[in-house]
Amino acid sequence: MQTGAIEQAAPLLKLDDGHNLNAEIFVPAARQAEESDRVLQAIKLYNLAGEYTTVINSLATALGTTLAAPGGGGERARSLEAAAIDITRHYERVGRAPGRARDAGVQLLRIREALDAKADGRVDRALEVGVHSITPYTC
Amino acid sequence: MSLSSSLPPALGLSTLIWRYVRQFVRLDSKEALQYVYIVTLGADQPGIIGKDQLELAWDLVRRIVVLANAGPAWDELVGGFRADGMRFVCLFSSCFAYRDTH
Repeated sequence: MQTGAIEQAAPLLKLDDGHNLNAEIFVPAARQAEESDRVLQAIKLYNLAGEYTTVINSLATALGTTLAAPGGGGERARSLEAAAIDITRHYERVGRAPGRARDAGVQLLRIREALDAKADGRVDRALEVGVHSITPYTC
Repeated sequence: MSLSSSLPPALGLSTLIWRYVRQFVRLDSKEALQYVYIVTLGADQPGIIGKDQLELAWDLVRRIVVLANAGPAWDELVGGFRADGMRFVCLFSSCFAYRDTH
């Protein structure tokens, strides 16, 4: 466990409980980060603030963007996807923020896995991920 | 320095501090945070002035969080992550439980 410098300094900043630290620092900073297109930082800050539903919604949106980006979105997209895998696994394990957005995130990650497998020439693996994981759209 | 016809001249401490720390906030955000504590020294001013000083300090902290470069140093600034990199484990509540009891 790693305690951040801001949390350690909370008494000096007169933010003596978690709620104040979230309300005055993490949540507004997350919004500003989102507006500045720093999606990964925003997601981490929302997670720290306990805004788990927002984390999952933002992740699903960001994953959709990286999947649609030309060339896969580059290094930035890879960092986001790595964080998304860790977050989603952790949330699934502890039963946090269940619902359609989390399911959508899982599906998007599987699509990425299938695309990567296809790019590596492992077509059988790509098909396997696709067939077993991706739910067809139904009306 | 702010000069107003109706008020005595005043020194904007938070503005001065921000002008100084913004030069290195991206590269050394933890160092920048140290300077923000100076602003909170005015928190015991009477009335709304003390509260204003706190609000200004919190605003500087938010700016530091948003502007600092991403990476291990940023994670050390905000906390909540394992030392082995991007592993995302939320121990936020236990952290505050620890602080509340000490």
